[in-house]
Amino acid sequence: MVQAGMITGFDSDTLESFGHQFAFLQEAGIPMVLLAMLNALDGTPLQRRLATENRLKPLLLADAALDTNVIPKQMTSRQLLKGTVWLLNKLYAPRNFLQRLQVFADQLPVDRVDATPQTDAPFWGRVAGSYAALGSDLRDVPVEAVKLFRGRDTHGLRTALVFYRSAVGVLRRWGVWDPGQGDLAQPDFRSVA
Amino acid sequence: MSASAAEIERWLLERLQTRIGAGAEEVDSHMPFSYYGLTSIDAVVLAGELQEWLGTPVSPTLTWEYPTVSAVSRYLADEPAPVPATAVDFKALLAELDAPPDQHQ
Repeated sequence: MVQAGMITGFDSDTLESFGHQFAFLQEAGIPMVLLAMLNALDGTPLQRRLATENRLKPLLLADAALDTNVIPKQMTSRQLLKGTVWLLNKLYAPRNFLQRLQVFADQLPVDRVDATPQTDAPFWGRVAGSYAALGSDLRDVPVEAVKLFRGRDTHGLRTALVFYRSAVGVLRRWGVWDPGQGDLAQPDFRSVA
Repeated sequence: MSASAAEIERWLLERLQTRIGAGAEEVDSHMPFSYYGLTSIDAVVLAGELQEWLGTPVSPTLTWEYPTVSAVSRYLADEPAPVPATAVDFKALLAELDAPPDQHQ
């Protein structure tokens, strides 16, 4: 199973790029996505270039997904953050995660005979329990996901479910989890300067 | 004083709203502090004010690890993320795994 690492805030990115990234990942069927804003690391050519352009700023937060030392080129810092938080919520909204799993599962052969044994009760018990602990909006994700893999090997699914559970847990710990944003077709930039 | 997550959140939202201005965008508890233009100095000052209000030690680097109003409020109140109670649907999961392919399509 493919895992994607995506970055927002490249110099070529515009306000439309967030929607384009989401559409690409959904179409490609990549269930596991890591997302962060572009950061310029010490000693890199990027950092040297941005320094000469006066486009570096101090970091306030620990995580690169939610803060950056780069001043973006084609949008404001607030627009970049607003778009990134929207993309995080959009990508990890249960129905969008399941949609990417569907695309991925459709590429697998239906071959029950050669498939890995499907039932591993201790593992699936832990999965069901950990998702139930997230609440009613996420409780059914494992069951819905398994339906998509009927007759198919579930190796990738197992990895994706563990990853997704962890990703949602991190977003909640950060306090960024906001399902309402996942319902928006695009980031709401109207009031963002 | 012992404050609930909701009380801390309300206090923080008011503080931030005052800082960015009444006519500005309404503060969202799910948006990172950096969105509202806080600097590291602002964050340390905010932690100090929180400490004074709560009457309990607050790390000056609090916002570094807890990047939103929502996260700080839950952490300081020692409350887990709010999730509704829900039953484990383990049987349904195993039934799906055990169903033969011809019942799936």
